[in-house]
Amino acid sequence: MSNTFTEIDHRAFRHDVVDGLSEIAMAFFFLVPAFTIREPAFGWMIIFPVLFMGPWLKKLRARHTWPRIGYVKPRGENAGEMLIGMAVYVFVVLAVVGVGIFVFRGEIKPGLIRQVSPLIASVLFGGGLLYAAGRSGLRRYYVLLGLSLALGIALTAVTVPGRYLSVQIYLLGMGAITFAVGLITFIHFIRTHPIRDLGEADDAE
Amino acid sequence: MPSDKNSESSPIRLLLELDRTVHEPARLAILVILSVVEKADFLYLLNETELSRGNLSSHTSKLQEAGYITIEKAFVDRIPRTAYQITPEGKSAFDAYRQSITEAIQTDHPSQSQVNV
Repeated sequence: MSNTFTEIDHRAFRHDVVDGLSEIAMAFFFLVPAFTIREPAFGWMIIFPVLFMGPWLKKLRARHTWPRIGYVKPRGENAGEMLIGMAVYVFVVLAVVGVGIFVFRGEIKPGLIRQVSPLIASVLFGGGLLYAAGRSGLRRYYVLLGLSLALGIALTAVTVPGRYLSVQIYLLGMGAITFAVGLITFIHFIRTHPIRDLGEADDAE
Repeated sequence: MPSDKNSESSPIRLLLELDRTVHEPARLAILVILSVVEKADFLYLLNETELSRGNLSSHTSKLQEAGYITIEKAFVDRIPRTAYQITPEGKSAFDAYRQSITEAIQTDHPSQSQVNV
């Protein structure tokens, strides 16, 4: 794509995430696993954000976002392709980490996997943030990516007592940060973008 | 045998035969946006093109009449939304326009050669 078309694509994607609601939705993908690690019996709860986040976001945007700045659907949001891409990415990250541990330690121990789990989680979520940053060009995604990696590395470097407590801290920390960023962005967006009354102009055709 | 002046591949002929529905700047801007995104509504196009409401409405109607875009009116969560989408014919017309104008004006301008000399 030429620069003009790339810029239009970036603007469309940026427009789709400018209200901060994507970060609020993303926060649930950090927070729900954080709670289900503590109580694995509630692991099925992860199905709620997966199933209901899309319709919930659409409903909120129809009420609050699109009447303010309009609606655009960027190209390349094929759900099937996205899922395959995410599955391949997760597989590659886990394979690289597994091979890395095997090469440096000679064997893969459960304790070691627990130790590096915040790093694995930060790289996995970092992939999504990097995609959002690259597609939208928004600086806040790069900041969240940096925070995600920094928190993942820090929690891997220090020894945290308790099974999977370090990855829980990572998920809770990132969940709280993304939720706060999303909420602040959303409030700022609502305040700075009044609802546009189009009258009958868009029905004139 | 036709002379070079009248040849179908002549750059001037290409310019004269440009699709005028596409060539108009406001309609071209609308088609450029709709060729990149999957669909967009009236307000989005209004913000991006910075046209007046009446102008935008009139140009989208002309594009619809030419069969280059479709206009879909729907209710999303009980809120009305008019969404615009480029059609395959619109995409072909836009691609043909791009190709013609690129072929017609991509050669070096004589004044540039003189400056270089």
